[in-house]
Amino acid sequence: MQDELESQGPLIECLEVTKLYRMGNETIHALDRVSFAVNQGEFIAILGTSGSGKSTLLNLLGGLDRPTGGEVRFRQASLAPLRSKALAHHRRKNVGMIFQSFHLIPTMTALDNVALPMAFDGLPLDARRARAEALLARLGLGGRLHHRPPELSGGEQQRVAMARALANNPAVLLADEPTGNLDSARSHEILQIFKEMNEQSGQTLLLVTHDLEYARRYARRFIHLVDGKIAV
Amino acid sequence: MDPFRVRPGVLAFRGWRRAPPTAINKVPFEDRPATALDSYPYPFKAMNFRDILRLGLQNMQRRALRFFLTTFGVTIGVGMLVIMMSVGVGIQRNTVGRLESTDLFTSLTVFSDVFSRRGGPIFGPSRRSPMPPAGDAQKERPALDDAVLAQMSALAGVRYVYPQRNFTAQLKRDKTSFETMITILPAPIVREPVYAQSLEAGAFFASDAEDSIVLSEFVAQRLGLPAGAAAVGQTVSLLTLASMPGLSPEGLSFQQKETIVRVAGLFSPRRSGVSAGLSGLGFSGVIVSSGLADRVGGFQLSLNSLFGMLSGKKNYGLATVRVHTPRDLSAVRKEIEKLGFTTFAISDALGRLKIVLVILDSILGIIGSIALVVSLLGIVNTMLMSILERTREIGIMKAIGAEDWDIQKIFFLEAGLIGFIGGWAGVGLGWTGSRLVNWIVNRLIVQQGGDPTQVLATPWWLVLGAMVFSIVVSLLAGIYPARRAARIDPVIALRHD
Repeated sequence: MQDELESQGPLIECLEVTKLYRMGNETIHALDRVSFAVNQGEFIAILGTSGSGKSTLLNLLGGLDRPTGGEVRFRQASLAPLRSKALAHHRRKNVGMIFQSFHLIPTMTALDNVALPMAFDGLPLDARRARAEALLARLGLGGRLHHRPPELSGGEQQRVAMARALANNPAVLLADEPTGNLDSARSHEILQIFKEMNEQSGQTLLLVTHDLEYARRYARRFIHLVDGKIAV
Repeated sequence: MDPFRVRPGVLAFRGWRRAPPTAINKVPFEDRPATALDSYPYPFKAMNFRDILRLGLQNMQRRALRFFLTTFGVTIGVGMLVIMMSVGVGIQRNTVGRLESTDLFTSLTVFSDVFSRRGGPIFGPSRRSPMPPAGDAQKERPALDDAVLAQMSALAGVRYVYPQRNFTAQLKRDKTSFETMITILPAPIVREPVYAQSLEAGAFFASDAEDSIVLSEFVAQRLGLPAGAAAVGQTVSLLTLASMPGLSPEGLSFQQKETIVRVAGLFSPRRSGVSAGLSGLGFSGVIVSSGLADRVGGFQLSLNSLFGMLSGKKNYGLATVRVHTPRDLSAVRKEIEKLGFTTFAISDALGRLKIVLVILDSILGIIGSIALVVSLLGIVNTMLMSILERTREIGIMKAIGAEDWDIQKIFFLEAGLIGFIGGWAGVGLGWTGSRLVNWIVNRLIVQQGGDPTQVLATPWWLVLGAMVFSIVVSLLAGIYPARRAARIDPVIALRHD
C-alpha cells in the first residue's frame, strides 16, 4: 500500500497556501499563495530572511497549524478536513519536526525524550526503549542515554531532537533552522547527518534555513521565500 | 512531473474550525475522490494508562513541595469532613440510635378512651387519631377488655399484648411493712428476653398458679431481705384490700386479705435500660403474675376499675402492644386505631429529635465541606500554575504527536492523584483525630465516674464515602485546568523561547 501511494505522486503538496495574521487592524500575509510539491526522497532547503514565512510554512506542513486559504496535501490527501485528533496522528506518524532551540523536555533523559513520541503512539515501554537506544546510538549518543538535556552540548541536544523526530519512522523530516543555535563545526556535523540520511536511507527532508551557503552545500533543491511568496 | 505545478482554484475550508472568514475561503471545496488520509485507521492507537501515570508522577516529583502542600490541603479538608461527620454520627448513635436499638420502636401503648373524650390520655393524643369532635361523644366507645386484647394479639405482626395493670398493697416481713404499688404482668409475658435481662437473681414466676413475687433490689433491701441470691426463696406477706363481688346495700365492701408469697427473683430496672419503662419494670418495685393478682383480689385504685366494678364490665386503662419489628408498627397501629382506640408510640416523640439531628448533621457536613472546597481551590490553583510553567512542554508534546485528549488525561490524572493521596491521608487524619477525641473525652468521663462511650463514630461507610468523594471532587477540580492545558496552541507555545 505504501509503494502504491508513493507511485501516485508527490509526498507533500502545497496548493495556493495562504496564511494571514491579524495584528491589530493590520493583516499580515505570512504566506501568500505558496504552491510547490515535495517528492519522496528529496532534500529541499527553504531559504528566506527572517519573517519571510519559512517557519509558518513548516508549521502548516507539520500539521501544527492550519492555513487560512489553500490546501496542504500529504500523500494526495488534504489535511484540511482532519480533526485535531487525526492531525495529531499526522504529526506523530507522518512528520518529524526539528527546531532551532531543540525543544527537548528538560526534565527527561535523552532516552525518555526520544521515546516520548512512541508513547503517544501507544507503543509498549520495552519496544520504545529499544528503538530509542538504537536511534541514539546511530546518532553517536550511545554513551549519553541517561543524560538530561541541560547536561548535553548544543550539538548533542540537536542530535537527540533528531532521534526523537525519527522515532515513529516519519515519511518526512521538517527541520526549522536546526543549526541556528550551533557553531559552524556542529552545524556541519548536523547537516552532514541529514545528508547521509537522505542519501543512504532516502529520507525526505525539508530544511528551513537563512544560510545560503549551508543550503547550497547540502540540499539538492531550493525554495526561496520572500515576503511570503516563492521567488523564482 | 513538474514539482512546482500549480492547480489554480483548489482551495479548502471544510473542517477549518479556526480559519477566519476571508474572501478566499468562500471558494467551494474541490470534488476529489477519497484518499488514504481521509480514511485514517480509526481508532488510533492511544497512549496507555501506565505512561500517563508515569508522566503524571514525574511531574509531581518535579514540583514535590508544591504538590505536597496542595495534597496536604486536601488532607486537612477531608480530615475535617470526616471528623465533622463523625461528630454527627456519634451524636446520632448516642441519642436516637441508642433508643432505637432498644425495644422502644416495637412498643405501642393503647388507651381506652372511656375517660379521655376531651382531655385525652396523659401522654397526649396520637397525631394520627385526633380527638373526636364533641358531637361524637354519644358514640359507643369500645372497652379495652380481654376480648379486644385477644383481637389485637391476633393482628399480623403483633408479638404479644398485655394490659397495664397495677394495684396498691402492703408488703410485710417481720416488723417491716409499707405500702407500695404492685405491677401485674401475665406469666407468658415475662418469658420475653427483656425480663430475663433485668434479673439480678432468681427467676420470674413460671405460671399464674405460683404464689410468687419478684422484687426490685431496692424493695428487697427495704424489706430487710439479704442481698443477691440469698433473698430468693424467702417469704413475705402481701396484705390486700379485696373487694367483695357485687354491690351490698351499703355500697362497695372491702375485706383485708393476707397472702404469704415466695420471693422468686430480684430485678434491677437499670439492667434493661430504657426498655424497662415500657416493659412495666420501671413502674414499681414489685411484680406479681395476673393469676396471683386475681387470687389476692388486688384492688386497682383507678376510676377505670371502679367503673368496671360498678358496671360489671372489665375495662383496662392501658395496654401494651409489642410488634415483631419496627416496620410492623404503623400497620398494627392503624388496625388498632380502627377499633376506636387511641395509641401512643415513642417514635412520635423521636421524629422531632431525628429532624433536629438531620439539621445538625447538615451543618456539620457543610462546615467540613467548606474546608474541602478550600482545598479544591488549591488543586485548581496548583494545576493552573503548573500549566503556565509547562506551556512550552505542552507545545512540544503536541508537536511530536500528543493528542489534545492525551494532554487532558495527563493533567486530569495529576489532579486525581492529589485527590487520591490527599483523600487517603485525610481519612487517616480524620479517623485518628476522632479516635483521639474519643480517648480524651472518655478519660474525662471515666474520671467523673461515668461509663465510656463512643463520642465520635467513624463507620466504614464514612471512610469509604470520604475517599470516593475526595477523588470525585478533585477530578472535578481538574476538569478546567486539564481542558485549558489541552487547548494550548502549540505554535504559540513553541514561540516562547
